Amino acid sequence: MFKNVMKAYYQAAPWIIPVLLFLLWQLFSETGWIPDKVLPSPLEVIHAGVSLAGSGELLTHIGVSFKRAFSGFIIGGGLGIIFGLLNGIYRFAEKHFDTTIQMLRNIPHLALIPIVILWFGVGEEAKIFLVAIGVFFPIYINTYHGIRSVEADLIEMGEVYGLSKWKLFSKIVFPGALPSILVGLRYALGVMWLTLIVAETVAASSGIGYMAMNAREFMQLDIVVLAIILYAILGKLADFLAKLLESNLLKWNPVYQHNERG
Amino acid sequence: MEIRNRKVLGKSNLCGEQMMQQKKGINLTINQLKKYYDQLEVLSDVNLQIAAGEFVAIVGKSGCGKSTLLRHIAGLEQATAGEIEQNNRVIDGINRDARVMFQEARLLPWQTVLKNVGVGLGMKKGWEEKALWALKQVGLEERANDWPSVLSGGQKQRVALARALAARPPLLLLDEPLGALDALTRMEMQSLIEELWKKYKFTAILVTHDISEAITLADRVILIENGAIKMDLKISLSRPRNRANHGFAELEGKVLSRILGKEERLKQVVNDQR
Repeated sequence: MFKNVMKAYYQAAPWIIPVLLFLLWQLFSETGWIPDKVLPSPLEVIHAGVSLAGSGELLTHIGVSFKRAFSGFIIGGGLGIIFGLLNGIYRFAEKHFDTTIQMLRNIPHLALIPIVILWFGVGEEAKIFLVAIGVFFPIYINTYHGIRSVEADLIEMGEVYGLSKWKLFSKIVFPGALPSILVGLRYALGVMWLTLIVAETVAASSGIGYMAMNAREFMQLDIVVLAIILYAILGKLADFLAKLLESNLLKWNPVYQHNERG
Repeated sequence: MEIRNRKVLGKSNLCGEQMMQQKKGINLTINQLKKYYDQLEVLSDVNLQIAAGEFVAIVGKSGCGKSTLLRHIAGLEQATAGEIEQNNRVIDGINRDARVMFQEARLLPWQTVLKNVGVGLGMKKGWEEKALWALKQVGLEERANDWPSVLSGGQKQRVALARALAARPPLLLLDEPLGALDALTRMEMQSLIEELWKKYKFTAILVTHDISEAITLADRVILIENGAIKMDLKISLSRPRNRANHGFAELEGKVLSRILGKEERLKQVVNDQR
């Protein structure tokens, strides 16, 4: 009984502080310690959210942003994995590509915004291009590093035991690199949101960032705050999915077995 | 899951018996094998004959080249000169008839125990039955679906042994596989290896630091010093052997004295051990 209560408590524990902050914010807004012109109260933000959702506008913006994030992530992440695997496995590929990629990596991708706008205008391509570039490098580096740090002993064992080249890759090299690849994935998700927020704020005609910028012009502070909170929630959601993926794919790792044991 | 396992187990016994008759040990002839790493001479001139089904132990100080010799037999190293013939065929590249048990278990942490044993079968079609059969041989069939991380060191080495034996290799190479285990587990593993060797008649080559382990298990103990064979001693004690056997201590003393080189120092060592 007591054990169950503790378990339930621990599951709720991460949300205690966010809920508390929320309540305090509401309280301070109502007492007037936080002026309305600086920050609207949480209830006002929720109200703004509900009315925007009612008109269907909110969902359209979220959908547009999500589509951009997802497309960019798939393109950039896919290329990152392909190049990471190629350069990790084949010395020939590494010799030819790695230096160039490392050079490009050091250009802050957000610095490309002016040129990207000149190339693509404010259309979808610009945002997807920027997200893809931002996501490519963390995934590339972690995939490459993961492949390189698979234990040589295990690969030697696989060779002695007569595994084919494909089995050697699929049973030893790739699963060995997977923890590192997933770290790259989680990091890339963060970069993905950041890039999207900046790109949508600077140059867009739809999406959550556009919604916020548009609301700023009309001094609709509640909608601006709503957009910020939406980014937080979507970011948390992406991270949650990545975590879920991790604990499913890395079940073998003692680090992810604590739930079963305890 | 349980039920499925049992069903497979029933079948695997049959297939185990069938496999038993298929392959017997392999014979080896090593001719003037030399190995240099740059200027460093590791094996200077090794000549050795090993009969089919023989259990040979290779002993020597660390760095004497005994593991290097084993890696040549496994086909993991390229000889500078000389060759190794196996059933009259020269070994070139990875030795497909040999299975190696390493000092560390080298299990894949991301595969279950059963799949790890399956690696020994190349994960080719129908590997599950044979893998379960092999796990049964080492008494770990109940752990088939566990992750390697929850096993003890001794259990991990038993899984590694099952993996090595799963394909019923005619040649088993043991590279100090028991070195990291505690004394009791080591003795258990020794008798397990001996038992399986008697049952399946593969050729076994064991590299070890432990002279009493060599004498317990081997038909012949070979001493390597500075990359060459310095002693080839036949052990004809009856099996199973242990230190209490008549003549065991005498043989152990003989090998030790040859390694250490000085009769005097040796007597001291043997006396200390008693």
